[in-house]
Amino acid sequence: MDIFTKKHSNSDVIILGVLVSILITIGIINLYSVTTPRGIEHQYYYNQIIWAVLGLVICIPVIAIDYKKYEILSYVMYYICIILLIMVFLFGKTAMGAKRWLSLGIIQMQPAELMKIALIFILSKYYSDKKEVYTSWSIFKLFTPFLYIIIPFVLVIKQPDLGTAMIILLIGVLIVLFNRIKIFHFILMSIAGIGFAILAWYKFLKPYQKKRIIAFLDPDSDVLGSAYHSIQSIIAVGSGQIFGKGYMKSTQSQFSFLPEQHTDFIFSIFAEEWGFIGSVILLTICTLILFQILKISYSTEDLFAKNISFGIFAYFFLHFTINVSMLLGLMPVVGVTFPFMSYGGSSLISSMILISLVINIGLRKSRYE
Amino acid sequence: MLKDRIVSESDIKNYYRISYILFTILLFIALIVIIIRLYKVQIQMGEYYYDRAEKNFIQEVRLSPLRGRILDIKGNVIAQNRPSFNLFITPAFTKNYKKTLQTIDNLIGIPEERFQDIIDEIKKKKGLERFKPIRILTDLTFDQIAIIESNIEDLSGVEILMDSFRDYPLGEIASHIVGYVGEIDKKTLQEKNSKKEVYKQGDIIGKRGIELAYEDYLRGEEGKEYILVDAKGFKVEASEVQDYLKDKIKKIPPLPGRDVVLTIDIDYQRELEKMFDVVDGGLIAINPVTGKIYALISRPSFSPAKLSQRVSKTEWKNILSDPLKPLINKVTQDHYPPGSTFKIVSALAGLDKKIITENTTSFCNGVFQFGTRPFRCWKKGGHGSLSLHRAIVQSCDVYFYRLGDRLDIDNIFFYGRMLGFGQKTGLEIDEETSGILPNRDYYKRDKRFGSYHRGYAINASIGQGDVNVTLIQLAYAYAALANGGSLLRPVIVEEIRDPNNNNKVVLKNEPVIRAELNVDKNIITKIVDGLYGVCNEPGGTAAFQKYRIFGNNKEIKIAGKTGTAQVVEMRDGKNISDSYIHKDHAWFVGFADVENPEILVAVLHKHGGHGASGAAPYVFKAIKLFYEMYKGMKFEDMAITMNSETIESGD
Repeated sequence: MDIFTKKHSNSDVIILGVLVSILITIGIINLYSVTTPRGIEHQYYYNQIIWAVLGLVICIPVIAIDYKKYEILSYVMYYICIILLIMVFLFGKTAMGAKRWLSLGIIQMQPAELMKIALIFILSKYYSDKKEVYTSWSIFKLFTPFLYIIIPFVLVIKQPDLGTAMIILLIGVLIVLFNRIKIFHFILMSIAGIGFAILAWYKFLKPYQKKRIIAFLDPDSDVLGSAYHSIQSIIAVGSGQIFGKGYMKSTQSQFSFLPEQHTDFIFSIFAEEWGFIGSVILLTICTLILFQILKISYSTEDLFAKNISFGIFAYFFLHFTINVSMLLGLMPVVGVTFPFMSYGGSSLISSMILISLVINIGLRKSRYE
Repeated sequence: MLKDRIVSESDIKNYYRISYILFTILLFIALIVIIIRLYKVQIQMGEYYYDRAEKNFIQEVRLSPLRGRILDIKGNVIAQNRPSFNLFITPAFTKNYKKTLQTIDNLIGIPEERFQDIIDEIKKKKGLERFKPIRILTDLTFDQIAIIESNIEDLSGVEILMDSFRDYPLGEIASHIVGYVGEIDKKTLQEKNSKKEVYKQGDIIGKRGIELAYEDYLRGEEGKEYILVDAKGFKVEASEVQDYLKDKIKKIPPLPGRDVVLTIDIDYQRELEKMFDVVDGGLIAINPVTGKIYALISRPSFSPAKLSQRVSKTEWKNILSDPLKPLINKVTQDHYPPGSTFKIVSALAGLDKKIITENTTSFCNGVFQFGTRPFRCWKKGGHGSLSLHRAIVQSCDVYFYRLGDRLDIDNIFFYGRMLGFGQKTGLEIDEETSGILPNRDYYKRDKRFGSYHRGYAINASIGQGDVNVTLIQLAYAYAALANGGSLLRPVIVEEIRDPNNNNKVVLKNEPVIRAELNVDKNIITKIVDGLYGVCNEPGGTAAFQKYRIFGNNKEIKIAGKTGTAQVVEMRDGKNISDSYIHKDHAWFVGFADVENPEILVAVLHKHGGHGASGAAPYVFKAIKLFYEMYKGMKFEDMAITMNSETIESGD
């Protein structure tokens, strides 16, 4: 167990660990505020503590085992995820008009969430294994990553889960861009993407998804309809003003004006209670976490590790920005959580596992120097 | 740049450097964009969103004030409030509103039109609006309440709520004075809101009479209660940890409206209403010195209580199409030719212009021939030779025709205006009409006439032709003569009291003199002498009627004037028809005492026939009642049967 020797630890890893711990702690404190004044059972923040502890326990082996040993899991994980997504398509549990959950006995899971991680792995594997991709700029070299991305994307968008599908697509695109492509090819991809979006609008999107996008474009058009969530979120954030309303004083939460206030809309409540100053501090912590991941990714010379840690950066970057943007009315409301703060065991634990992987890479980077 | 695609293990860092730089830039751009957005939402728009958040969970509930009361001079209640129980339905809590309404209809009955209205109203409600109760029925009886209560389990979303209800304990008495209230209509709502007055749809507002004219005093100030509501619109209580909300839950109680005290004496009004039993017409009793109104009646009357409730469309249609126009105040809102009551204007003009003196005599042979056109006196055989005094007493038309011809229409106009005709008297209640007082311009301007000719003045001199007056104008013109020359403004509100402030008087009406008659006092005395003669001298047009009611009583000196207004033109001195609607309008104005005027009563009895028989008795009875009620006088019962045509005056 060489990771515990001082030689291999470095300050980037410690800073990352501390920042994430701070964010998880803020998240638990915030969850306490969201639920307690309304007299709801304390289980939200309580459960979150249990999951955080459970996450820590899981993180120990994830950090301890050399990430190189996970490399072989890349293909297996990806294909299992594809099979699970097809199973969801065939036997999934319908909730709120969408088939997202797969019931495996007592455990219920969303394969789409797992797919995000599987995609990072398979693309990282692809770009680290196939060194020949670097030998040519041919557009045909983009075909394999394209397939890796588009298959889960189509399966998830059919569920339908627009938010997750977009994140899967964007994680893939960011990894491809990270490994550099010709600008001309990028333009071609963009045109194809726009073409697909237009096709999707007429072929794949459900009416409620279209409504949300229309509502985003003109939020005041339908106050009690689909724009409701968007408007109520902005009201929550805006009403915090500079210094916030104060801890446990979020009226938007306490009078139920925000749906899903403990999951997707958790940042709105935080911004309402802590104001502009609190929000900027929180977002700075998030940015520093992301920057720290990027730094670790940069400092390792192993291609697989670079790609994995960059993929994890993309994963968190997209979650943070899409979640906050939709809460601030910069994007349509789609189901995307705020990592480490949104309530939910699988979200928290998977986020912690991903950070553990980065720590894992950070602790072992010297080996490849 | 991309030529160096081929990377060796050692080149990896270089190859990816550009990616790291770009993604680091992207990361900080994202942070800056979000912070800019946060700045806009939280700092620039912060206060706006703070208010919107408050409006989300703090609901302002309006607390309606109790409407002020309307009292008579002695403090008797004319209009007040009482609790009423109203039936409401909340669409959001009703599974099948049509079925529920049907059940209610079966139990206690819902008027057909109302039934449809409610269904239409419910259909319109969307979203949170469906949580607001809609009124089904107003003012349930105790039996109805009992039936609903015992079936309430079948009536989901139905509830009985208490509200304040306008109550008029006197029934139809004084209906034209007090008016009625009702829900504000859209047009009034817009007007009020444009004047920044706080009215909302469904608010009760004065619609007529004092209720309308003194709305601002009667209404009071609404209170406000701030309650906490959740996203679904349900009221919630603050929990223990939410003590920061305590100062947001405020209650500002409403201020009841002010009490309006009228100059009316309801006891006198009630007796007069019993006595004045005509189908169509008006009566006004005033103090001729102060201008205060003691009683005011317009026939037919209406029920303020009934009109203050929801009136169905058919009921409204019936009221509006009633040929007797019950909603028109016959004292102030309709004008008619005044007939001989207008002769005071001609007399005043003639004397003041020195066209005649009190000694000027004229001969009446029953007709005044003007060119080819005969102007007839009401007395076929004529009055013979008479002075102005006797011409007033006997109401000789020919005397005044001749006077009118010499006066010219513009002089009649001038003195008519001096006595207040052709203009509003200034009574606050209802929209007064100003009547018609023609002059030369009037005939020139109107294409129907084309030009002016002298015949118009001749007609106007006896109050026929185009002269039209309201009963209230007539009453105050005579009051000006009775009080020695002051044209007064009518006063119907004695004072306004504020019950919030120990009944402090916030407004007190003092007599208002609109104008002094700019004529020699002797002239007024001479005309009043004539008016006294009408009731007391042999041949006086109202002498017999006065005798019938007052007998030989010499204590009270009554003066007055009869008037008979033709509804249709006479042919050869005869009415063309005897049917009700062609019968003449009867006028009489009388006052007492000539030396110390205390009461003046004017009556218009539409289609009542001659002024002497159709109107004068009501005036004399009203005056008699006044002296009985206020001066403690007793009069012997007169039992004279009327059988002599010759005693009965034709005017």
